[in-house]
Amino acid sequence: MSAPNAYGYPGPIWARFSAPTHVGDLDRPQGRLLLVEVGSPSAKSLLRLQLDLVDGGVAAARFKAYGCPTTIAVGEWLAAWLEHNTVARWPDLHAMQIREALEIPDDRAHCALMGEDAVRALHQQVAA
Amino acid sequence: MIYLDYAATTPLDPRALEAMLPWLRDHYGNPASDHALGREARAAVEQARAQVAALIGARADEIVWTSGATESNNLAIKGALEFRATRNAHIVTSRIEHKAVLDTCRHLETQGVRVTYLRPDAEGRIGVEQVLQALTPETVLVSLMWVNNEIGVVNPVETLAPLLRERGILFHVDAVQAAGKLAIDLERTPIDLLSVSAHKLYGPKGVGALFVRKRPRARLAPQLHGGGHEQGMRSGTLATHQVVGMGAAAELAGAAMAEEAPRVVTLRDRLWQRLSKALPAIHGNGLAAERAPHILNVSFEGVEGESLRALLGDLAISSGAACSSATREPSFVLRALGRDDELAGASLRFSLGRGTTAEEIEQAAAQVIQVVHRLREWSPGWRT
Amino acid sequence: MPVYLDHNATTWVDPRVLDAMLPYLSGPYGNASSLHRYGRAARDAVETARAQVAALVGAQPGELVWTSGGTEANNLAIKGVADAAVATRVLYGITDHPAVMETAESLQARGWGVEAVAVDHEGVVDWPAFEAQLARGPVRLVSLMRANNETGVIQDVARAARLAHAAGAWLHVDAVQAAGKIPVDFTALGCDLMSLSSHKIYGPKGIGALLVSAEVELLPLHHGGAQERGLRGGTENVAAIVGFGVAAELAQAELDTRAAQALALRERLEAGLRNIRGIEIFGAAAPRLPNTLQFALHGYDGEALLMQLDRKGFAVSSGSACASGKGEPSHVLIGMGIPRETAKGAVRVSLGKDNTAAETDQFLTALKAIAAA
Ligand SMILES: Cc1ncc(COP(=O)(O)O)c(C=O)c1O
Ligand SMILES: Cc1ncc(COP(=O)(O)O)c(C=O)c1O
Repeated sequence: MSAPNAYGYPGPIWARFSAPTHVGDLDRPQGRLLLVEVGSPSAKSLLRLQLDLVDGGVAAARFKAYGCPTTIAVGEWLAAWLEHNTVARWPDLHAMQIREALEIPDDRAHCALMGEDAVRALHQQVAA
Repeated sequence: MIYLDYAATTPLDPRALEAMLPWLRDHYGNPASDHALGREARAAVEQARAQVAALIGARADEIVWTSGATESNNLAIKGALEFRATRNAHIVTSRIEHKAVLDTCRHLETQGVRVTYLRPDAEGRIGVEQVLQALTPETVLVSLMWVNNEIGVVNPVETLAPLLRERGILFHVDAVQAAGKLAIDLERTPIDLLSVSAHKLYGPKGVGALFVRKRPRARLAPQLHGGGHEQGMRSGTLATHQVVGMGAAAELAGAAMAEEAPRVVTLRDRLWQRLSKALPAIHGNGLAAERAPHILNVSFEGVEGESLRALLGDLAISSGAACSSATREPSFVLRALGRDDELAGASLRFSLGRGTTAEEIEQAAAQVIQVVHRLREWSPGWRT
Repeated sequence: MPVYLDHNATTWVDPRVLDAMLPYLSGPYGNASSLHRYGRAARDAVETARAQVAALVGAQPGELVWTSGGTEANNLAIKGVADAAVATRVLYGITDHPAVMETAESLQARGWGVEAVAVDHEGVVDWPAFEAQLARGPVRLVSLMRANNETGVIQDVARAARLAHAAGAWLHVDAVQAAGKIPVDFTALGCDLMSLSSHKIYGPKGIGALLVSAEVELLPLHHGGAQERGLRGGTENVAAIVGFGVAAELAQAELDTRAAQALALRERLEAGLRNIRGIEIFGAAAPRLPNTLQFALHGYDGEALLMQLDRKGFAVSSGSACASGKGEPSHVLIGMGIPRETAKGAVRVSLGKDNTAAETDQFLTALKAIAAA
């Protein structure tokens, strides 16, 4: 079932929100499992990212999210991005890049910041 | 698209449109004009007045045309208070009224009027005793909605009316969601002022009416001055096509009610059965109370409201009232029912109408079930 | 069909306007304030119309608030300003529409000083008297019509704006009769508030607008809902708004033609009338709307004259199409110092875009026959 974008979300947000391909948990990681959770229930959003780190590369990324469509789209976009970018490039990811990629409007800028926070937290785990 | 937002607005009945068109074409006279074109427009306006009066058991000369129920509510409350011009006047109303009543009362508070906003009980209802206990010697007006627009709960206005009459207190009822859905007989029910809106009963937008009782006479200070139309209570050129459309819609609604109400109740109850059977952790709001036939309001745990609505883009539904969804204010009614802001946000109001079919209800139920399952699956916090 | 010469009372809906409205009457468009798809389409249509109506009078779309008509716009302007201010004084033109006059007078009960601004025998503001009034103490608001609905007399509202502003007052202009008939520029005229109505310019009845410049502090008349920036609650009348928008666009595009045609017909009619003995044309020496002509036939009772004309198939009126004061002489003419007896005989002819010379000639013939009888 595909619902119409009746409320006029920006195309990149809608595409990821309405048909995410990276939702889920990594039950049987081949390598090292990284897991972060960011957001707050009071802000009505929660984003969990899981990575399967094999030989310093990301074999698979999955997300789960509770929140507005933009939050869910950020989760989907990040999971895909992480699968295609080496750990070395993670610190370069800024909220602005997420906002531009997803065309996130000003009043949802905090969703992109949450994405940046998630990747930073992941990087700290790898570094630790 | 499945339209389940009939409490926000209804499509114009083609028969009402048919009735309106001549007045948008050749019969364009101003109903206040004294020539032939004016007289025929005036006659049409008076016929429509009788049609609206008939729907609510009133007399034609007790109907004052307005631009909609927002204006009706403003005129009733401000007009009554201004006419009495009493110092320290007190109004009793409830927290679950439409904004048109609440904002008007708040405005009056800035002018020194005291207002008591009653809290609904756990089913969203205002009780008779509760109203009576709130009365003070200064109380001049009670304003209470017949049917709540968010959850459909019916307030005991018929029981209250004679009790307020005995005490000499004016009683205004916002009957926007009741007219055409429940039987209203103002000949037997001593309500003094009653607001209705055309576009909730398959009439055009931008027209409504205020019932103003003649015997005993409910007196109002006009809120629109100039020209003295509508027995001096509401000036302004009457939009003939609009009032004709409302008249036709009122007559059609009256004729359809006996069949339509049970049909809609069956569909509404089926929708709730489907949802409640398939989905754990959902709440039907106000289900234990008496309700108008057309509204079902459900809160869904474990999903976020905006995403829920967004994925249901094929359903035209409201999360809360149409009015408050524009401003995204959490619903007072739902909070009164014990839903926190988050759960109130994850609530959907399904409102059914003449066009609603059994098939639509099945499809709508299937879509909601699927979307709630999906969002819960995506949520890191959800445990089944 | 009668010969319709009462366009200042109301006009029909232009078929092009009705065509634009129909999809919003029969289509599945929902409440303009709800968020789902149909709601958004309706909202876009409302915004297009807002720009169209604002453009007719040289205003910004953001300055426009929809109302249910000219009456509500006048009420909102005057009471809205008064409600937001400390009570001082309000002035209004003595020939203004009842919707201005009665609204202003209603403020007395709220502690306001309310005074009428006098006009001369031609219906034009008595400027020295106006200046003296302004000088007499603080004034919050002056309300003055751009063009009179009965006589068609046009006021120099730019001058009124300068004087009002110098005295620290805002100017509200009732442009219900002027818009679409003569050029009106909200910004250039220096107005702070301006009322408009759709059914005088071939749009539907039941919709109007108030223009409010950014500096003006205003409280709503209809509380409830966040529609119209909180200045006017209530579900939008989308079809009527769309119709008003198209009517305004057509009025703007056709203004010169309509005005020239009306003026030519009126001059022809006026020339003919002057041949009838005992005729008096009101405001004849003042600038007037091209389509409006108000006169009295001495020795004839206005009501009787109108009835006879109505029987012969001519729709004209004595003055404003109002429910109050039937049988009373027009307050406009009394305000101009016209004797009551003369004023009681007033007949207003207001021409429209589709009137023909044949129709005005028929009218003249009919009138002459009545006068000769
Ligand atoms: C209970 C209630 N009262 C008043 C109104 C306002 O009516 P209208 O849209 O005619 O101004 C509504 C609808 O929005 C309503 O549901
Ligand atoms: C000058 C003037 N102002 C205001 C109005 C009132 O407008 P409406 O008929 O839209 O209420 C009219 C028309 O009757 C008018 O002629």
